[in-house]
Amino acid sequence: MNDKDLILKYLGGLLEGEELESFERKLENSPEFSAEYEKISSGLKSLKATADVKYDNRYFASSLAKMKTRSADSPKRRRLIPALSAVSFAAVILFFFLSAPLEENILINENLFTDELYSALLSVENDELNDFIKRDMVSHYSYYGDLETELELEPGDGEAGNNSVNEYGVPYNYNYDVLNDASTEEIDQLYNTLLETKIL
Amino acid sequence: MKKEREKRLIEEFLGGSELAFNELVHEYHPKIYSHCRRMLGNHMDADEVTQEVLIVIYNKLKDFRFDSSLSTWIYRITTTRSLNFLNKRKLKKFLFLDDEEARELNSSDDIVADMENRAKLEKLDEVLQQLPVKQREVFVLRHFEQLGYEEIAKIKNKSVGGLKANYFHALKKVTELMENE
Repeated sequence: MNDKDLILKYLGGLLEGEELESFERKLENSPEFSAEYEKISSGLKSLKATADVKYDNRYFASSLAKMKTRSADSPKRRRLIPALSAVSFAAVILFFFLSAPLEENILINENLFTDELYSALLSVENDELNDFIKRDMVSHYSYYGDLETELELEPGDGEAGNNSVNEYGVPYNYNYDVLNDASTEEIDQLYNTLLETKIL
Repeated sequence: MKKEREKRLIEEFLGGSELAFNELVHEYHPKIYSHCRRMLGNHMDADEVTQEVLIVIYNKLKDFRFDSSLSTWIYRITTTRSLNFLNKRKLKKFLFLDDEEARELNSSDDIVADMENRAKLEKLDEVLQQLPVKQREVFVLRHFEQLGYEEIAKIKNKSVGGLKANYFHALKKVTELMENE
């Protein structure tokens, strides 16, 4: 711990026992440490002095009178505001429930359509999974370059020659709709395989 | 002694004496305002929350059972209301409903009249408003209002260890800010 932190811990009352004794010895024996302590503690004292502000006392008298007037006026308003707040809160909750995607859709549209997943699919050494990808899903891919070679596919049209890939090795124009036509069972099968192979 | 006096004044207030309430609040009113001012950073907001706190005290004093000291009870109300206000302000800002311009315009209504004191407050506000809220709260209660950790723990219903850690980080940040001035 550096000297500054040690001093701040002391000022914050965080030092106890052996640590405190050691701090006090150091403060007594080291002029540099003692100077650092003085600097920090006088800075904090000067800040405390800024809080010694003289307020106008008339404010407090008028404020009390104002409070009593407000207190007499406020019951009706205070009943209305919580009621409106409750209705708004209920509306927001209802909106979230109604607009929340179904679990099945989350699985298909969010969990599976990620670059990480695609990257994982490419790297997996699992024949069953690779067969599944090639047999049932490959026709929906639109990709090119190294990926064509890797999966032994025909080049896609239009984008050949563009080798831009992101940090996961996924081409920027990768078609994320690839799993749209897969059935729920296929998705489940893929998902389970990924779980078994500890990709997910 | 103080507790006895406060108890007597509360009883008198509950018996219908407005004077007793005035006397009771006389001591705490500047403390409430100062806390709000340090937490919220300007007079307009501090005035609003101070009013709110006084109203709560006025309406809820009948429920006060002396399980804690009156000071702890009042600080608890003040800190809670200040934090609620800060949250509301953050939400308003997010929804573009926060009227910062009005706050700046109303800064001329400040209750600090002379230039020297106003400069002091501005310097203080500048430093405190840069602290995260939790650190600011502990720093204000400990450094300016001189409350012990045990007392702050009762007010905030938090552990002393956590408060000490927050205070340490606040001290660190404050010294850094002062060094960079």
